[in-house]
Amino acid sequence: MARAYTPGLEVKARTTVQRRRELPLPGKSLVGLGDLVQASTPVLSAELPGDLDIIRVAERLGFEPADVIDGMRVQVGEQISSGQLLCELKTFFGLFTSSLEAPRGGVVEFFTEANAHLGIRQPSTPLEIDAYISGKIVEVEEGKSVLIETSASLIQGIFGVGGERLGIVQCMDVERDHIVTSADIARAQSHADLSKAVLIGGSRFEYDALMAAAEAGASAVVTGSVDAGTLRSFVGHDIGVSITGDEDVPLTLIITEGFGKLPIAARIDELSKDLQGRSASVNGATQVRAGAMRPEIIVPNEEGAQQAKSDKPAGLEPGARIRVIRVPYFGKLGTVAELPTAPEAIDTGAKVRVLRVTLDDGQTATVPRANVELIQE
Amino acid sequence: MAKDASIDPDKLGVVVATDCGSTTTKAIMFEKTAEGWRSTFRGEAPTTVEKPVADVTIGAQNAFLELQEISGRRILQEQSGEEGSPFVYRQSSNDSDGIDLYVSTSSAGGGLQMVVAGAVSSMTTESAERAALGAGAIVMDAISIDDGREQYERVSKIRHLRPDIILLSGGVDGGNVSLPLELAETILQADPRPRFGETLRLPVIYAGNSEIKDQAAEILDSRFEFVPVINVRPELERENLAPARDAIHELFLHHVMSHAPGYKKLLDWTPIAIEPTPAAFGYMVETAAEKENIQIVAVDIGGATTDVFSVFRSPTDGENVFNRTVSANLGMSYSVANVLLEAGEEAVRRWLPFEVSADEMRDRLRNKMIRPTSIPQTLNDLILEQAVCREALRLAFMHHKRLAVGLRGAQQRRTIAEAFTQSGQAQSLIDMRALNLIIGSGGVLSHAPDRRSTAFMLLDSYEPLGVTRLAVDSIFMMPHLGVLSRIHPEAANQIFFRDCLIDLGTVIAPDISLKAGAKLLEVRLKGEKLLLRQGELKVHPLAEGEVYEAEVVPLNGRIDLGAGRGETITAQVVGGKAGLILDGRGRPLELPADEAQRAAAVRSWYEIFGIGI
Repeated sequence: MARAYTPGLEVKARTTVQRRRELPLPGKSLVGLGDLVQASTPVLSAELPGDLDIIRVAERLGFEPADVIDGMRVQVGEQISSGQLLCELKTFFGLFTSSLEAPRGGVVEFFTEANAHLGIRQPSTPLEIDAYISGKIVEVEEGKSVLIETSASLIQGIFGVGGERLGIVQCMDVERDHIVTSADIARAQSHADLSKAVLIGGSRFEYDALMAAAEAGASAVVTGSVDAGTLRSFVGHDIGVSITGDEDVPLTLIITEGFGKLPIAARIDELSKDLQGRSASVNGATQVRAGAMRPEIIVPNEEGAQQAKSDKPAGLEPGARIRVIRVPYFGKLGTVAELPTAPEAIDTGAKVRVLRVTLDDGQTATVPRANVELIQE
Repeated sequence: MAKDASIDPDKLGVVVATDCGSTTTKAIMFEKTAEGWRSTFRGEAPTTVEKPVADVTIGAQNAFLELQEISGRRILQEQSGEEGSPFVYRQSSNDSDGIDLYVSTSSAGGGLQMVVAGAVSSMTTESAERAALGAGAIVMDAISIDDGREQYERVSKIRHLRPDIILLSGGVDGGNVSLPLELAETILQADPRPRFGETLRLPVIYAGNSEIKDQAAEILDSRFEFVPVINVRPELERENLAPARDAIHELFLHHVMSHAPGYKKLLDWTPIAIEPTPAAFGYMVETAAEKENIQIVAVDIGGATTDVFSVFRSPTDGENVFNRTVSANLGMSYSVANVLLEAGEEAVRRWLPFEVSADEMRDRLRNKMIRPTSIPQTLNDLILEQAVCREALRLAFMHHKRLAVGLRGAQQRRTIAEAFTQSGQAQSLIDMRALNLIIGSGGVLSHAPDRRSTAFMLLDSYEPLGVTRLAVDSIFMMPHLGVLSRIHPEAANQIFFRDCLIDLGTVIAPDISLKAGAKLLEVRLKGEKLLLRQGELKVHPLAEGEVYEAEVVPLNGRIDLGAGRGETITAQVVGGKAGLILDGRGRPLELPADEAQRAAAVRSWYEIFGIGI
């Protein structure tokens, strides 16, 4: 696998970020090309179909379905109002009349003769989609989507739970390998308001620390790692497949390095200090399969948009900065020293394409090319 | 060969085939040589469906580049534009550069997620669920009128799920009218959105009471793609899943797989349809069973899913019956943590000859889940993956046994008593004593550094009975050959038997457990007599290419090797990478309960196989 490395996760102090906002069904665009928007600005809207009331006409009137068909007084597609006559039946030579009125207004969507069920669709409810990131509208697909572009700092995580949140970057004043406890949260809270905070730092957060952060109103936690037990407690169940983002969690949790106890990367730690107090857009949604997405922290720059840079990743070549993503060197950073062409045997006995890396601790190691990811800086 | 040219198999000399898997894109070069068609070179690259290169063709081109580099044959144009084929095509059979044809299979696009609905949970809902599972779906929810939920709860649940397809059943033909229509109304009330594409209408397959098909259509047609098929339960005592399964497969191809980024461009590069990986794989299994007149189980364990294929003779008419199941969340990368959840940590741990903490195991496997293309570098890491593989194979095979119950195209009959009690599931077609060949495929099996460990994994997972040959797809080539065979069956067959299948050996295993040390059977082979006792695992040298007749004599009257209790059988044993394996560890295979004894036993089995740990 000549190119068998994981495309690196991006950690960039300044890059051009584009995010497309899409409606789940046709609607309308609320912004125009070139508009400047804030993260919370509504950019798209649509009318979500209203609830469907099903009226069991025959059952309500105490007749057989076949007997009520002739008495129906509304038609499919008709707009009706509350109290409008739906069905009227005369019995005993017209002496008695049974009738049924609409409990609520709406549009008649169907009438099924077999069971005399009438479906009435309620008025639609409005749906608005916000910009998620502040920036400039650079593309509008009328009624479907808009593309927002901004110059921003971007940190991609490797895994997250919880969806989109907006907040303010708040660095945890701890070492990169520190395990964050609820006491650390209390200390942070004594110095700053953690409401809507995006807390960044440490090797991992204990479960109590996550809950304390949520209690304090934090929007998100970004840390090096999480262990399986803490994640299970936080989410409420084990995650077996890497498709996340819809969890019902009190804050969004993003890990940058992996599972276990791994210090947050130095470059993320340093960058987050520069971003202290800035507005951030955060999304924990992760999907490693097709249509993949990684969790992200986007902090738009204040001085405005820049020229877009190519998103094409740099190649794996001598001098490239990499991170090893598998034991026995899991989590270590280094610089590619050599890329032998011929496959070489590794400890498992497999013959694979490898590279020689000078790790930051001075060690030289041989690792499969499949086990490194490029650091996109 | 240009895109529009007609394909003359006789004019083909160099073919490149890819399989765009959920993790890796594998490219293989097939060439016509003096000795016939051979597989000559292979290249691979990570499948690129993840940003910033969310385009499946980038991964494919990377695999072509590796193929070009390794083979020395120039197959790619110096500069290929955004559109059009990237290949150099040969102008004559003498050209040393270029190719004649490119074909591909694909499984990128993720799994198939479905909601099923039926009138009664133990009747039509169960049939619908079987149909969906059999078609390879993850069943996100099974809705029925008697599922104990309030109507608003059902509506809310369906609304929050974003299935790829809904399968609606309910009522036998001419039977209940109101319940299936009520379910249709429930779906309409929920109005779920499809997972892909905001303009796409969510497909609803209607496989309920056929007499109210039109009325169900009236309810659903305005908002959904309404696809009526034959009832999955046309009569109370009869189940007919095939039409619904076929409809699911068809919709899956058009509504799910084709949404993999770049897929449309890839389609333009090949003159024939890109085949779903499992379809091409299955085609090769079926062909091999027919050609060799044998009964086969084949497995393809991938990153996200595990597909099991089988061909067995029908006990009623003797015809070959092909079955395929997909265990959608059992795989070795994206779904690896789910194997741990489904099997249980103890089930995985039992295959390890060393200590590992539960936390360490969970974290390592979740790291594999989020970095799916990484490979084990240490032996311990490899053994952990192989332990997970055993459990994924075992669970997927259980799933297959449960669903491989019918004749293709025929209807599955149950007695009325069974239909009411649901106690008697339809009898599985899987007859382990009649099974001749197990084929393993997929990265963890095909690329195991030591092929003996592949034999060991298949042995532990499938627990074969009687006499069973084991083989492995050498480099995960069966899908490529399946799609090649659509154009050039002879070339595909030649390569399948010459280069694709690698024999691992033959297993002889009695079907019972006796007291430790009790005599189980004697194998008479080449003038030697090999004795097997309860608890023993023996690997007798038998090299690749060696084929002998062996007499297998049960030494206990209860043992049935396929010819009846206590009956001696004569069977062909085929050598391979592992050799002749005599497995007296018992059926079902149970490992010692004591932790130290268990680890020692597993370690000793590795030693018996000659696998260094």
